Amino acid sequence: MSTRAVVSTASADPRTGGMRSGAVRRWSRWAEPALVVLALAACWQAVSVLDVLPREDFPPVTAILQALVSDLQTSELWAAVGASMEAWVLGMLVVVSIGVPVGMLLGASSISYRMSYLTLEFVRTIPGIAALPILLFIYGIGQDLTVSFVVLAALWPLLIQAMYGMRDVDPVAIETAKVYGVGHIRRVLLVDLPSCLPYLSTGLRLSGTFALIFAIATSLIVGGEGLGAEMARAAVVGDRPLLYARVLLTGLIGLVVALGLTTLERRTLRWHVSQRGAQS
Amino acid sequence: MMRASDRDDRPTPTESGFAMPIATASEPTSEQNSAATAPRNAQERPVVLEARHLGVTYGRGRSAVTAIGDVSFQARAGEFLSIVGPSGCGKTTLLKALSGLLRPTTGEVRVNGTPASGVTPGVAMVFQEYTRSLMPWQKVRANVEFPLRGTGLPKRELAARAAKALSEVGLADVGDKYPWQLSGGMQQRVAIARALAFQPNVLLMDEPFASLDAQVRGDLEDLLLHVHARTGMTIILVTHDIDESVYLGDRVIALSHRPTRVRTTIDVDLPRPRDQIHTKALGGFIDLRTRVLELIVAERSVDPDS
Amino acid sequence: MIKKLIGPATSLAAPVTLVAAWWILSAGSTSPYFLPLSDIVDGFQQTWTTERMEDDLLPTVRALGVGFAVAVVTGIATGVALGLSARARRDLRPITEFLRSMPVVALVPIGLVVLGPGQRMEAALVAFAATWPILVSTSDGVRAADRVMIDTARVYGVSARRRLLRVTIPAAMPQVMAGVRIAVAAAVGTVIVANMLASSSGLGYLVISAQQSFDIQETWSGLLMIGLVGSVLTCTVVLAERVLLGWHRQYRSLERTAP
Repeated sequence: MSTRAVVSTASADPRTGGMRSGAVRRWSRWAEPALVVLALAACWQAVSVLDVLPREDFPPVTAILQALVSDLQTSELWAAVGASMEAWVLGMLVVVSIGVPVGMLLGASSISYRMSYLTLEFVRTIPGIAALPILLFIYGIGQDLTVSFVVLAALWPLLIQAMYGMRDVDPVAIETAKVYGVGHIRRVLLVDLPSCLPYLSTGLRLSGTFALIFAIATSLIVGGEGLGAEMARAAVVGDRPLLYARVLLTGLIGLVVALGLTTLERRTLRWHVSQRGAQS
Repeated sequence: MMRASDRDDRPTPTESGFAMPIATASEPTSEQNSAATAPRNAQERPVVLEARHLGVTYGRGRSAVTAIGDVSFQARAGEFLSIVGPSGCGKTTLLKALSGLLRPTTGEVRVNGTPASGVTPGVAMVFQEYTRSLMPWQKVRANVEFPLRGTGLPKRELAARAAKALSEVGLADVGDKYPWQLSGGMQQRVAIARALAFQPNVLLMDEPFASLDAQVRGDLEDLLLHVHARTGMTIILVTHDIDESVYLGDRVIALSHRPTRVRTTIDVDLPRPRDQIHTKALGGFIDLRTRVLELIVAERSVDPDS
Repeated sequence: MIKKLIGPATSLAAPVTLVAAWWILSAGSTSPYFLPLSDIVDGFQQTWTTERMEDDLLPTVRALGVGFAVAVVTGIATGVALGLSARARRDLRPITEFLRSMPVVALVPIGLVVLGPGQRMEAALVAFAATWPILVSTSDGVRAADRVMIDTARVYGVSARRRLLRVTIPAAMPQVMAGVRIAVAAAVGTVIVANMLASSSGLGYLVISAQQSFDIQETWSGLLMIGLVGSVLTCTVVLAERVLLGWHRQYRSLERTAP
């Protein structure tokens, strides 16, 4: 604070106080984060190579990347990725086709909303992982198990958001539609659904990230085909670079899914208050 | 940063008798009369706050926008200064520069003759957005006490000042409520009470009544006149309401469009105490508001943006 | 008055009805997997002897508690720092985005390799999993703290430290608590997965080994206990929220009823 002295020159920007030109600012926007990543990778490399931490447990970055590159050339890995992603997609389809209509129905009347929201808020905090053993009894190991587990765990966020969205539809908009004689079905399509959209996209993002976690967790815990099983295999074999490479790949898939869903959410939210001026 | 206790050690106008601290405000003394007849002997009073060639430019290069070109004026102790300007002329930016929230690109702000660095010491501010300026997690009393806490003021003194300020604005019995349980007008009164409890050298007000309805606005204008008469505090009020600027001020500073300059300063020689009905019916009032309005309209017609 | 009673009554009606329906509908169940609820309750009492609690419940709860506490502290501290600095937020973005979208179960094998099986590994994984929701929502909350409110404090000469502690952080508190709530589910899920994969005791180990030996009653007992642990932790957080954010609940309800 003491630096904000009285200024008599015309150089200082009142908002940033800096003197960086546009080009430098653009450069630092991309380069600084990239440098941070590189620096971190270099640190890891040094720590590993110099054996500061046991090299056995923390293989060098170069070894991990090498393992990743050669792993990516095997068809087994791609089959595993395919299986996990298939479970994710199928699970999400079921989640959407149950969560959206049921959530909207529950939110449509204030009685059903009041009756269900506490229960649902509670159900969502109960770890879905608990249901795995019972599902295992029913389905045995396989894609059915993974999909049903994904559905059970990822349904709640979307359903709850759909319910909140329906609660939040502007009554004035509904009345306007009624006054203009818009029919029931068209009202749902033209008023309710668009108003719910921001909530639905948020729910979709939450459910989508959950679903991915559970799609991978299933094969990690019980085996079968999938990324989780591949990780477990690498761990059992004791191939540390390969294990790290597969975890890295899983993280990257997670990142892609998260970024995709966030972009989708931003798109649908563009007109929504929460996104205005939230660009930094 | 200046702490309130440091500030009190210095010989400020508040202590030299030109403006009364509210601790003694309830006793009617000769100071009250001198505040009431401010314009006549205004020149003898010390300058409390001075803007010297203030300029603020946002951004740089081709995208640079000069919000404030060159603004200079002086506020004397106990003076009520109204600042009006056409919409979009950077009134809020000017207040931010005066308070030190924004570092001016050029020029300086002086307090009691000393250049101010950082947040201007001894300044209180009342914002237009009372809902955003009061903290919703604190009760009314805690909100009023908030700026005084951490200044080393004894707890009892602190509570006494807050209670006094709250009763000053007619809210003696809402200390235990949350601000959002009150109406808009009452919330703005709380914000004013917070400023009073702080006992500032200068009270800055950024369109404080703009989001209130007309009746409440009238009430609060009168409350402010009352507080000004009792405490003799120096007040700088920024408004877009021309009636308000004339009705409240000892002087009205009319600003130009962007880049903002001081267009004219008009002395308001209306007698005090003023009131909504009689003052606004005076020929002098009507003449003055017509003059200010003409200035503003003239500024609008040469607005480079329109 | 009546309204005050109806409110909780309607929200309690659903869970009570559900449990009752489960009890009645499952009463004559002959399915090997879906036992009558009465049998599950009996099994629960048989399974959870004091000994069993010490062996399987306590380690899990301890790892959960330690990990969660670490997550709350690091999540809030880092979240505040990132919320305050646009530059740190931008520069660390690739890292935070990567780590937070990392499906946390994927880290269990690494945790196992690096820390070995045991409560230390479980607590570390819980801490990692639960930190992100808290960190992200804290940073959002700090960033969204009202400019006018902070400016007000600045004008009044309130020191930077007090501004942070008394204005910015309280203003971010509702979002912080929302993050903590989300973190509960992440934390419990993680500790169970870690148990299932890499432990020789604990809740997750209990259910998975009961499942493998086809002891259905014990599987259900373990399942019920997991739900119970999750519920207790949620209740604790909700209670903390009520104490810390009493103002916010009323504030919100006032906003909602206002036209």
